[in-house]
Amino acid sequence: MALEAVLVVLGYLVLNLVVGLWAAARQRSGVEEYFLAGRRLSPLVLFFTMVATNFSAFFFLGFAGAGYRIGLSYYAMMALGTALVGSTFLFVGYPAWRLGRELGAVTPAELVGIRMQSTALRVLCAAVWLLFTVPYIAIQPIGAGYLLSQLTDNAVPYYAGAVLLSALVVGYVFLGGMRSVAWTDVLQGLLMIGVSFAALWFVAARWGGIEQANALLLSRDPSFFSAQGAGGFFTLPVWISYSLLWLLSVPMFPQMFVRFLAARNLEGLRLTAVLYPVVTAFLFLAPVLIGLWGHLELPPLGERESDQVLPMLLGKIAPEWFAALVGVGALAAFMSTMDSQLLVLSSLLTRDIYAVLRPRASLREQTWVGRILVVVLAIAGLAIAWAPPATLFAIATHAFSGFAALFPVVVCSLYARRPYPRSCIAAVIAGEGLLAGFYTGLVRPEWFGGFLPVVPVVGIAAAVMFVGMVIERRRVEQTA
Amino acid sequence: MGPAVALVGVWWIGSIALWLWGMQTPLLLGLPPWIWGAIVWQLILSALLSWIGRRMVEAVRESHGA
Repeated sequence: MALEAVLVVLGYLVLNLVVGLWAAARQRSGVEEYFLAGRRLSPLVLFFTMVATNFSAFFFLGFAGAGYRIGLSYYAMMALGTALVGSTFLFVGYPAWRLGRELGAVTPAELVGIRMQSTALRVLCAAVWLLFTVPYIAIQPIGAGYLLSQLTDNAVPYYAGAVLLSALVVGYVFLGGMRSVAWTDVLQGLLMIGVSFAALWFVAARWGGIEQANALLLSRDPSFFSAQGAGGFFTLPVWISYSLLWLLSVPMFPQMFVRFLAARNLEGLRLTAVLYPVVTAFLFLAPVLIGLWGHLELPPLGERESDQVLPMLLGKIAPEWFAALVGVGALAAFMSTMDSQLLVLSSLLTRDIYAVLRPRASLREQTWVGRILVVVLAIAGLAIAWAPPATLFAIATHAFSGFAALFPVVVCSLYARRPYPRSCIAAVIAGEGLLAGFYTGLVRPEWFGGFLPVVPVVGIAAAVMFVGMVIERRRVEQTA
Repeated sequence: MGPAVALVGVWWIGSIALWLWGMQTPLLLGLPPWIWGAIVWQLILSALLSWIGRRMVEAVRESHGA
């Protein structure tokens, strides 16, 4: 492995630590300060932390792999679906931000519980958020460890890499909480964006530019440019399902939702909402196009191999330091999601489980419990990563639908004029119950006309919610 | 809030219509026409959200002033 490549990786890790420690030094004391950066994230920091947290390493490796297999329609599906997420920063983010301040809520479950006046609902929502986020504390170190091992030509073995990166992340999350996470996200976000466009420019130059590369591929296989994609991947129900999946699930990721609570002002949410579709419009093109051009340079790849099309292509045509730089961009994407998930899991366990069981716990005590949990969760993640059970990945594959099932309940808690705790509990149980049916095979996907599980899962949760609200309102009116 | 949500809903339906259109050729500056449509459609959403967000900021300022 070239010395320059080692220096690029090392340089990034050191810079990341320096930024994290610098932000930690600016931290004040208090539970809101630790978990929400004192609700003072400036508009630009908020934008970058949203982007870096939302776009995991899948953005680099998975997008390129899907671009290789499916073609440009994958770009359109991901970009149009994710762009629409921007609207939720206003319609979900703004009321969450306002109510979070008014009620002093630190976690999404706390906000829902206080608004619906139900501790049972609060704990139930926290349990759902924990269930679907916990697998990632093992999955993220696994992915990051493999990537670091690949970047260093196995000079750093997979598990040692996972331990090293986890230790680095725990270091700045333990000391600086959300403030360190957000500022390292700025670095990681800038790196991801810069490296993506640099890679696009570099790879396109191989064939004389984007126009020439795409014209060449079009002459070989036009299906890569069709709306259905190669092999007719996208049918109308699948397309509609995906366009709803991101809209309903991304704002429900707990690590995204807490950023609504951490914003300094509404202007920050507006700026993020406005820039999000611009970022998706241009940034998402880069990895998909690069993946697509893998057909021009590489021998045919199988499905699993195709997720490595970006590093394979760069390894073949780029100097080693440049391939390492792009690899570092993917590493940044891993770390920026990993640190946010670690912190939000710690906040859910501290505020919605520990503080509920021990209501007299002081804010100082809660902050320390949160810090200790960050370390404990990271160690637990590494322990699971040693021999990950198959159920871990199975739960993770259903995480998006699992989060989306909470959408009707969260929207109700933000907009309803009076509490509907029973309707909310019934809606969560119905939505997650149906998802469990898909998971166990009791419910078959073909029963829903080709739509992905997210559509019936959110549909049933919303229907139960609506009927329950009507019944609850009538009961209140009758007793009044 | 209702009209703003309706506008975003119309945008979502438009994005599905764009996929149904799906015009592949001729390539314009290296990309199929329907992909250019997707890019422009996202920029329209950005402008729309800018307008809605500005209205929300103004409404908050007015309510604070009142």
